[in-house]
This record gives sequence, structure tokens and C-alpha cells, in this order.
Amino acid sequence: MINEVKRLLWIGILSTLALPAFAETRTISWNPVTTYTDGTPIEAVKTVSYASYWTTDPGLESLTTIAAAITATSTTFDPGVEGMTRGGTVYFTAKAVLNTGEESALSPAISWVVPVVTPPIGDDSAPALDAPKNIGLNGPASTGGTQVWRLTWDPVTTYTDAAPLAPGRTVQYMAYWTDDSALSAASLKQLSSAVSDPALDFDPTRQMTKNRKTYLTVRAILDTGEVSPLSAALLWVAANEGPTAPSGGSVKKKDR
Amino acid sequence: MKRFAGLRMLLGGFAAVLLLAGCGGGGDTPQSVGQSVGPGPSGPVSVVAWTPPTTFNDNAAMDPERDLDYYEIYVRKDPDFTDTDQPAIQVAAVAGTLSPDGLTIVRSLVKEFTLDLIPSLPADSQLYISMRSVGIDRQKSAFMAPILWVRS
Repeated sequence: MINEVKRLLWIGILSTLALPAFAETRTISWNPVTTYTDGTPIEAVKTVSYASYWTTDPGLESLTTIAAAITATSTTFDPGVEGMTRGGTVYFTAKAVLNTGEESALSPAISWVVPVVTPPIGDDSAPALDAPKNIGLNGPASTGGTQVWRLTWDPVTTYTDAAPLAPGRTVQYMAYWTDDSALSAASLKQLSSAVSDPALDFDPTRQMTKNRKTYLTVRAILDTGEVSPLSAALLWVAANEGPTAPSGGSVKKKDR
Repeated sequence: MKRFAGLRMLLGGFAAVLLLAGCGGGGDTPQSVGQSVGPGPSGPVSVVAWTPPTTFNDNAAMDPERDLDYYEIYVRKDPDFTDTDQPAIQVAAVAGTLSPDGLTIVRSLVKEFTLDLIPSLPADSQLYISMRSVGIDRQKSAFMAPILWVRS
């Protein structure tokens, strides 16, 4: 290849169109590609098409095609049809392809947390599912090559107005970690897939940077698709080696 | 964050958990979980003081106000503290006190504790005290060097 097609500069979720009964259409769009990487305009006789993909791997492996060989700079998809895990993080990327066969590199990934449910229109006043509380951490449960830490929280049994969940309702939980104290949606990374118990074992060394400030948070997901806000974050120095002992101990007499 | 909230109580600026009086040897099971026990009616009290740790075991920097949950205070008749010993009491690493105007809570590191508040202390005239730091992730430090408490 003499000239590499310029990388797509921007890609993002532009709009959302809610459809009934949890079906939904999302639109992903990107800037048109008009030049090669050296700035030379793509010849008029050549046509540009695009392919867009998603994956759960931030390294952009194992791509699933959303659309291929389209000339439009956007495409729509249904997260449910695509098989995206509700509440999970997926990554989008795209590339440009010329009719001569030249291809761009993949665009930088953009992450997106798949909404668990599309809020029903006119139901804004309904109480939200309560967020998990009392996030705790305990570990490491084992040593050696694998570190297993246990994240725990109180089970969610009520809505935010303290009304109990209807009998028979089941709750799952999705736990995330992030370096972002604001817990921005784009920064959240899943600790695992959804779990039914209010506890989750994970190995921080596989995902996190040791001794880096890390925020852990959990949200609840009702079997109806309702999703809670994120819990208050637990700030943790990831995979730390444990505290040293106090020092300089002394016993002294003091007046009451 | 779980900080044994249900077990903690404020004691004159200290948040303490009274767990047990397993003293003089390891492996005792907790005898009681309860409210604070006030010091004797008169005279001075014995206070253990310490310097909070500021590093993890790999020497990485630690913020004790953020990363520590509580301390465990151990009491024995000899200085041979072991992992099977049970703490005599837990003391929160950070205490919240009302600001002078009463509008805000000021967080500060706890650096001392009144030993006489520990319930069911043995009557011995000399005891040994040690401590462990416990992180918010429940990791415990090694024992602090034992210190002799001469009671008079």
C-alpha cells in the first residue's frame, strides 16, 4: 500500500431512538475519511466505504461486525440483537476501505456502557431501583500467582423510596472499576459479568495497575431491566501489599 | 465502605469497637460485644499512643486517612504476640469530630487510645500492648513492637 487511508478521526454514539418493549436502536457515526495519512486527498475516482465493529475487548480483538461496505458515515444497531451484555462495556471501532482495496487502520476505540433498559416514556416519576450500599473489600483470599479479592455489598431489596421489590423479583449486580473519581460511564470497566449474589471475586492484577488509586462501584439490575444508580465508590489502592504496622508506640499516664 | 459501622462508637473523639477481653493468650473467642466501659472513677488513665503508618509493605506510599480502616489493640501478659491472638479492642483509624461551629465534621487520624476503656483487663500490674493496622481491604499489618504497660 503506497498511501494508508487516513484514520477515522472521530466516532461516537450520536443518537438514541427508543422503541417499545426494550427494543432499541442506537446510532454510531463517524467523520468521513477524505485523505490519506499524509494529507493527500483521496482521488475523486475512488469511493470510500466503511465497516464498523464492536467488541468487549479494549484491545480490539475478536471484532463483531455491525455494518460493512456502507458508504454512509453512520449505522444503527440494536444492542439486544447484537448480543451486547446489558450494563456491560463494549468498544466500537471502524475503518475505511477504498474500492481499490486500500484500508485504513482501525479507529481508536470508543467505549460505551450498554444501557440496561430504555426508560419507558412517561414513567419518569417512578422510583428508581436502590443502589447497592456498604461496598466492602476483603483480600487477598489466596496468594501466589493469583490474587483473589472479594467485593461485597448489601443486597438490594428496595426502591429509592424504600418500597420493597415485588415478590419474585430477582436482582443481579454489575461491578465496575475505574480510575475516574467521577465514575464517568465511559471510564467504567467491568470486573466481571453480572452476578446474582452480593459478592464478587476478582483478580486485580489482571486488570488494574498495582498501587494505583482505583474506584470500585456496583449497580443493581432488576429482572425487569430496571437499573439502579451506581453505588458510592470504594476507593482502593489496587492490589496493595497491606499496611505496615503503627510505630513509635508508648504508654503514658494522662489526667482524665 | 464497610467499616464495621454497626460495631463502632464514638468515645470522646475516638471511634472504638469493644470486641472482647481475650487477654494473656491467643485463640480466645470473643467474650462480648457491647457498649463502652467507662474508666475508673478517679485518677489518671493510661493512654497508648502511636504513629500511624504511611506506607504499604512494599514501601508504596499510603494515606492512612484514606487507606486505613482501623487498628487492633492486643494485650498480653508477655510480649509474645502471635497471629492466633485475638484483639482486645478495635479502634477506628479516623475519627470525626464536630467543628467548633457545629456545622461540619472534621476528620482526623486517631493516634492514641485510653487503655482503661478495654473491658475485662486482667489485674496484673504489668501487661504488654501491641497493635496492628487494618486496611479498608481488611489486610492486616504485622504486630507493632510490644510495649510494656506498667499499671500502678
